[in-house]
Amino acid sequence: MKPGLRAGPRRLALALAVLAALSLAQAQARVDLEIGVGGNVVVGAWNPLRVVARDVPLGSRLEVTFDQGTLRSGAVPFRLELPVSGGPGLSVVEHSVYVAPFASVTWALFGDGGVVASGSVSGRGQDSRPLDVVLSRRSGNYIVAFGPEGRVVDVSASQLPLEPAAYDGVRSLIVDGTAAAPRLEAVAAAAAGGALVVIHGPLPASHAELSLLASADVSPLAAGAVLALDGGFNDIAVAVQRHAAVRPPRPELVAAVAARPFVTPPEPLRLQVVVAAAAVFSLLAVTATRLFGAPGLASALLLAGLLSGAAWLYARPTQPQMIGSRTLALVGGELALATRLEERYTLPATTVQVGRLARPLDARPYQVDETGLRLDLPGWRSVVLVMAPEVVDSPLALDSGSLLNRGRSPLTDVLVVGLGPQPDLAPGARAAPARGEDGPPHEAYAALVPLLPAGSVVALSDCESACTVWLAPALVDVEGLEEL
Amino acid sequence: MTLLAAAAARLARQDMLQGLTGLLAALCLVLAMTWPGGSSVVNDSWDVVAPVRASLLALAALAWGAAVGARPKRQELGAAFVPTPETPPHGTREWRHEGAATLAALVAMFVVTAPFDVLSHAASYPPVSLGWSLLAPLLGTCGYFGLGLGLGRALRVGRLVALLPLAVPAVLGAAVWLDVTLATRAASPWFAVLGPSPVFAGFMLVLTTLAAWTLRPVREASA
Repeated sequence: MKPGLRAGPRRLALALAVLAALSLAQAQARVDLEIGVGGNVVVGAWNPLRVVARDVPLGSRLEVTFDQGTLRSGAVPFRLELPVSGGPGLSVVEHSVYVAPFASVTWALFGDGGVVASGSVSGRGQDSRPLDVVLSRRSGNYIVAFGPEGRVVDVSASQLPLEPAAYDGVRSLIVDGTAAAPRLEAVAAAAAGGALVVIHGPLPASHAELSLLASADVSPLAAGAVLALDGGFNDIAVAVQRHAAVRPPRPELVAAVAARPFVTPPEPLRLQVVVAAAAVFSLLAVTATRLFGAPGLASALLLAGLLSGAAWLYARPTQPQMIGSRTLALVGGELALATRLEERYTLPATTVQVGRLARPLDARPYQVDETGLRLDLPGWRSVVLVMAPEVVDSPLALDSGSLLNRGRSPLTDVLVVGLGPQPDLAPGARAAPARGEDGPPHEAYAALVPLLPAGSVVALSDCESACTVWLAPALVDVEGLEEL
Repeated sequence: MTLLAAAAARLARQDMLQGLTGLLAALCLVLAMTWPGGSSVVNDSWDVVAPVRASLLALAALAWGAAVGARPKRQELGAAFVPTPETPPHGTREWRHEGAATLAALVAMFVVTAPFDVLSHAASYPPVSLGWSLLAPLLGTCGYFGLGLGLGRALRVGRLVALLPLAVPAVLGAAVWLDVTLATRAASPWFAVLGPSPVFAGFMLVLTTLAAWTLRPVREASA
């Protein structure tokens, strides 16, 4: 037999084996889960969550469990469940998630009745420092400029999320035009979400649309700002640090708004009244039964029925669940970043359901899926829920040195920190800030005032239903007004 | 004599009147201790008032049921013994009437103490409906009365009537132990009132039926 005839089938078998191995490798599911911008988690802030799955079964489901417990409290799980469409090719799921300090994060993708992929994140590497996100080929220079205190992250334009909430933990976004241009929406979302967007130096033509946001000075935009700056890397670092130093920290602002309860639980009947009524009824029932025989017993039974009806009418609170809310809106330019806080006080034990992105203010077990948040609450307890921040139109503005109400609702209890109370602003009305008589600030924002720099303007609207606290940090130049 | 009059007469006797007074006093005390006072607004008084009421009613029903069931039969008393109207011999028409009047008096005690349950339920918003909160103690009272009849009779037959004061709380304690051991709400009125329990309802209905059958009016054969 010739050697060539023996080699032919072998080669064929080898080729078939390689093809089979390749097809198996292609069919093998692959799942990548990334939490935070560029995979950098900021603890105590909303973070983007991105899942990229390849060739996973149709109708798969992702479960991520954040154990927010400590040694003292034990496990406090927050479970996130999201559907993954699956099927051949890529499936991408994006979501915003609030990451509280955690002990561990575990995740698993379920499909076809089993676990397709799983992984975990250790709690040891968690970092609460905000990010300085750099879109540049010269990221090393920025890292050196920001020094060891900074947390500079080099990402590509495609990794930038489009939701303002996802930038909760981002201090600055620096674009210098040396890398691929980011989407305008992503940059605007970053500024609105609270980051300082720095346009460093002249940008190439590919970045032309960013000039819509950039100006020579700092341009506030909702909770953040946009700054165009020429200068060295150190100048950028100084500008970012200076801007962060004068901005009131948002987590503390939210905590200050929630300092006072939004709901007043119902007053129970007075103890003395209840005990006196019970004692008198008992005495009457015993006396009537002892002294008057069958008519006495019938009277006691009738009295018991009447008293039961009266107790049901007068002792029962009218509402089993009370909801109070307050919104903190950080004003910058024509926009504001609104964070709604909602307190739910329940008398019977219940499961609280909220059909939007939210988190409880304190660490407690809860669950989030595509329908919203679910949280078990025992009877006679309350929970404060913090909704994910969203961008809204701002009614409060400073126009030609005057405070202006551009909204449809009156702005009441206007206060300029450093000047004092100002007159209420009707829709369309304007008033020049002037020194007012000092008095106690409104209880809705009293806890905020010590955190605010001079010149900050605070105002309220729609307090009949749910107060919105409009807050424009350092809007008015108080020192300039004093000199005038 | 109507059932209401018989119940009133039975309730007016010293033993039951003291029992009713004690029950009302205990409920007043529990209400005063659990009702929120001062700056507190959290009202969980029902969590204590309802189980205490259900348990005390069941204890009373078991005790008086056992006392009625443990009465000696006519032939055990001897020919010379003349029973009083309050202590009729077991199995006689008067005994059945006495048992029915005692049960009716216990039901009256249940109704008279109902405002405590309704008041604490209204103010507490417990996770149990008012219907079950009222039904469970009624079932427990009637059921435990039936159990008491059987317990008293068994002790009389076993010549262990002297153990009756110990047996009554022991039975109630055994019911609690059973529920705790089996992690169920089948026997103890304390746990049964805290959540709907078909097993408890069924068990108590059977005992109530047995009690009603035992106390049914029958025509005695003429001598």
